[in-house]
Amino acid sequence: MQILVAEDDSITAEMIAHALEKFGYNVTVVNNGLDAYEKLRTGRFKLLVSDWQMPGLTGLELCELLRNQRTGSYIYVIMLTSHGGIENVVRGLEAGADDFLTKPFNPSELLVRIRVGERVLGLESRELMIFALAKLAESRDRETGAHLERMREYARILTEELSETEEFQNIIDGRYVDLIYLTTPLHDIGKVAIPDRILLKEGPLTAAEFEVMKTHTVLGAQTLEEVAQYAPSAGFLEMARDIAISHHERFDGSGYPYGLVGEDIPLCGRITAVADVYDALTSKRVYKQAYDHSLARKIILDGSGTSFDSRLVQAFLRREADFIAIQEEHGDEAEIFDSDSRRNAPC
Amino acid sequence: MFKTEWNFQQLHEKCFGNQALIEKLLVKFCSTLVDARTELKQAFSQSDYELIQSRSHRLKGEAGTMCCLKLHSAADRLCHAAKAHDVQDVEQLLEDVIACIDHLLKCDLMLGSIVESAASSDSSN
Repeated sequence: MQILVAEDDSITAEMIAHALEKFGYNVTVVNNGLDAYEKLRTGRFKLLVSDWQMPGLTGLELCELLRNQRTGSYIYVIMLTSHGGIENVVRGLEAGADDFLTKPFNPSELLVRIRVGERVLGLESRELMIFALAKLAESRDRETGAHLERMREYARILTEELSETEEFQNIIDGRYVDLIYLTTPLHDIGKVAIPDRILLKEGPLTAAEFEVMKTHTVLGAQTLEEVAQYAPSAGFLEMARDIAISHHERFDGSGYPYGLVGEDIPLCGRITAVADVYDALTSKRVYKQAYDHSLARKIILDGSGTSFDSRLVQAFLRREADFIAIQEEHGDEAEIFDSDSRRNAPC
Repeated sequence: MFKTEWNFQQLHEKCFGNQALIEKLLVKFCSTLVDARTELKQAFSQSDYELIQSRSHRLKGEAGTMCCLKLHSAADRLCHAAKAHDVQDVEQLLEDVIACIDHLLKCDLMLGSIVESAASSDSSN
């Protein structure tokens, strides 16, 4: 596990780092709260040992900032402090600290508190639970195979690519990428509420049936919203809800359920839309054969600025090779329909 | 007498017997002591109690980490007095801290032999 130590006293920092490395952990040390925050935004660190008083951001301020950003994985915070007294303990806990270690620190105590943190973080098996839930929802649908595995990889790649651009680098950080990878599989969770006669129908849907099918977006988002009310600390549900409600919106307002336009569509929804359509195009479905990459690429390009955010299409083009690799690695076996023999496109 | 100034056995255990680390930290710490001495005296001459408080707080942490019990305790008392803006107490406690620092800096010369004897004790075990 990677541990971040934020301590401006270089002597204490060095001793803590040495002790943790001795215990087998990978340690990074920073000497101020701002650098600590930047490091934590990368998503690499799950555990923070932070001094109370530091330049830049204090340990308390750093903790509050982390807890106010309810996205990304949980970071376990141990406050290293010589501030005694119940009042300061309360302040620390209110700010969101998980544990305290009083100075001068004792290596054995440090180790047991780190291990407590590891146990708590281990309880966060949500990644497995989320994927299992999404898989269960998917199991009713004829779109089986590795659809969800591919979807989240496509979404991750697009998001990573966008994070390199000036326009998005202040919006997308390592934690955002982790989060979209985690929550994309829940995009169609609402389909569990769609009747079999519609969800599993082999032929084309009637207009009325399609209206019912479209409700999977709203139903999925409502479910996730209700869960979020019971678990307010589960910040990832916010992104999951946004993806569920908006992944069928179109950039020009021609999508559903609300006909949102442009940047009114959450970014995570716009990203999922590209991932979902690419996977639909390159996978066999009951109503079509799998298209090859060239054909899928053409269709997505044709939709740039209308169905899709053109910046995301550009990101897709820059990472085409990765999309192809994922399709090959996780692809379901299917006969490929290529550009030369194109029939009706699904979207 | 020395053990009340500096619990070297405890420092040795904290550093898991890593002699190189101990020596490195000792050098760093002694440099810190020299700076702290200067900064605290300057802060007092300027009646900057906030600076005395923050600097003595930091010194307390460093001394505690390095197992310098007496200095840790003295710095803690100075920190509290500075926080309370107790001028008389600050003056007296600052003298105590300075005396501790001076004594530790003299002890530094002795530490070379202690580090060596600890190293030879480790290898015989």
